[in-house]
Amino acid sequence: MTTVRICHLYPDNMNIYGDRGNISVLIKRLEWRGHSAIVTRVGIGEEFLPGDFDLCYLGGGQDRDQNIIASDLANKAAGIRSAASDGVAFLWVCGGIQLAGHEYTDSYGTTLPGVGILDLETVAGEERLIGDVVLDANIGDDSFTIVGYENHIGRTYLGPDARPLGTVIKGFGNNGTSGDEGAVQQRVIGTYLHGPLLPKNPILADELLTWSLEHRSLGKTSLEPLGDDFTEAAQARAIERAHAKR
Amino acid sequence: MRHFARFIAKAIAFLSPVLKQGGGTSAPGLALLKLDPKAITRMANGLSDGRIVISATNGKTTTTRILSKITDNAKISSVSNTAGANLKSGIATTLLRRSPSHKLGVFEVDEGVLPEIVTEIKPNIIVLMNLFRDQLDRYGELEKIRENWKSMIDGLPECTKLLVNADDPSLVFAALGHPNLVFFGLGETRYALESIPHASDSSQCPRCNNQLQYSQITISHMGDWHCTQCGLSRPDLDFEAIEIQLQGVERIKFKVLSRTGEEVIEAKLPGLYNVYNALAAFTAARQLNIEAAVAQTAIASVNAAFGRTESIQLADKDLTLLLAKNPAGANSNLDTLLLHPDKFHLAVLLNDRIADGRDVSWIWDVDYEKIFHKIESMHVGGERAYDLALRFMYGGYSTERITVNDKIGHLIDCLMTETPSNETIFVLPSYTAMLDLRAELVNRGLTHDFWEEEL
Ligand SMILES: [Zn+2]
Repeated sequence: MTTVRICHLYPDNMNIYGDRGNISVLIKRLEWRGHSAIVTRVGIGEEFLPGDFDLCYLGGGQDRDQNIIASDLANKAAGIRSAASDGVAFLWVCGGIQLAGHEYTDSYGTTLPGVGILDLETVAGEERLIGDVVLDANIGDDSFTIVGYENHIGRTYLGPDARPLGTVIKGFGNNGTSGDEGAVQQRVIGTYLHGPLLPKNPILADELLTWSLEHRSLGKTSLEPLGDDFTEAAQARAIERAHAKR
Repeated sequence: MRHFARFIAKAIAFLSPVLKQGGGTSAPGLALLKLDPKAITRMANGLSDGRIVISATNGKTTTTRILSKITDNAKISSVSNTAGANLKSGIATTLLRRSPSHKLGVFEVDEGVLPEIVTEIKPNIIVLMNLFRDQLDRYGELEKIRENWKSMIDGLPECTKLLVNADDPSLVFAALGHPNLVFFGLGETRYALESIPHASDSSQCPRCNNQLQYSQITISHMGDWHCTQCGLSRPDLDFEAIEIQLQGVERIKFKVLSRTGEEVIEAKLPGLYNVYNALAAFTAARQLNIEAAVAQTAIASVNAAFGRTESIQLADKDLTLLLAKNPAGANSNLDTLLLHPDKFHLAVLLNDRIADGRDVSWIWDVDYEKIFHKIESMHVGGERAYDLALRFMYGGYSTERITVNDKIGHLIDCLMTETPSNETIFVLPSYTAMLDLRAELVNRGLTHDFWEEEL
């Protein structure tokens, strides 16, 4: 039994799209395999110690909240970069993917610095990109389908060091034109998809958990698959509905 | 041309109940506004005794109903969109139906279109009740609505009376500076929450972003709040609900303390959120110089609007609908269900149509876990039934005890055959899921169409 140490960054500010659901999925999927999790909430003014965590989660917030945390995040940036290069697993969603990049320029032209753990930049566009999304995802040698929901004004462009999380089958993705969604670099995953993301995408959840278990125990780990009818039905229904004309 | 536009719109108004187009609550107005975009301003001008608009994320339909009932009892001839059609089209439809004898208008207005409606309708009283997260896909950001409300208030004529729920910090901040303010809110109550619920937003000071302190939390981010950094705090209450008693899932009783004394309010509506609704309506009634006694009697007699704590007999079972369309509303309903003395049968229904909000991630912010111990049997339904199943599964509810019924007819069959006699079923539906369920119950002759209901 291994205890995975999860850092939930800014849970009071960046939690608008049911982000708590992603955390529940991580905890439960560990527990169902006899492991466990400790979730530490790290907020404004609190220190981020890179050696203390195996997995780091950041969710989405409103513009106002994102502005409130941006300056605090700058104080944590060095620690976060050190954790990322040390192989800690990251899932940064919505506002998270923007702050994981080099910088984000909002609708008013203000530029917020990101922490730079993903090679990407984001600029606010004109219209919000909103709706159901289906992806052909690729992580390492694994190919699988991801379903979710996007709602963002940011247009994100990847640099050479970041690979996309997946190819858009349905929806807008990073910027509405490139056909890419999300970004992966080392064990850092950024994505616009919420809904929340992990309940209907257990393969992605297990990928993150495998990484964090490996980080914790310093050895190769494989997680036994867990099947349940609800997840399969929910994903199948989401794919069907995303493709249906609405 | 104007007369022609009204004629066409009235013809649609006459036909649409026959055609079963939602009781014709919006279609005629939509047609009228296409032909005559300034129709609302022109028609509202005739309401010489005044125009009241009521807006909120939650509770605007119920508050409008209560106030409408009060004005009826006070023999003030008024027109109101009590069926909940609260966009421009619905308000235009309501105004079309107005007879020349109607001198007062009572309108519930969608929070997104409030500034626009206020410009057109020129209300003399505005009631602002709360702003919560709702339909994230539709507005993008709640903050935007708050900003729009603030600019709207900044542009109001001084004579416009603003009735504000003082327990919602962002509303107070938006309203401060307006010279004509009346504040209502909840006094000390034993039904307060122990901590800020997960789903709440804006527990930061609206002026300086510091974390707010609360001596009492009622619903979501509302309560008796203050900021230790800049000193902003809940203003003194002009109308304060005290000695609140929540009587099960059926009733409330409290007193309103104001400059004129104390008045007992009783209503056949449950939960703390209905204390806010009844208090807001009472406060508005007093601004219209309606006697307290008249308001009290009216409030005591009002029935909940369709789908909002509506009881329907399902053979020998009692089914109660509690609309739950966003986290704050759903959490309030769960608190109300906890007042039910026994275990109950539960059905949660979720759709993701435009009127529900396409983005259903909010169900993960609702604290369903707090009622797990009260659930005797558990059904999930609607087009996003499997999302609910996952929500309950990851919440720790046993998957073997969850029945998925994504067809409304099956769900009703199931509830009718499986629920033991004389037991209670609570249904928490999203907005269009509630309409679907009602439509099926109407088809089966178990209830009436919503546009046929009495206030
Ligand atoms: Zn302050």
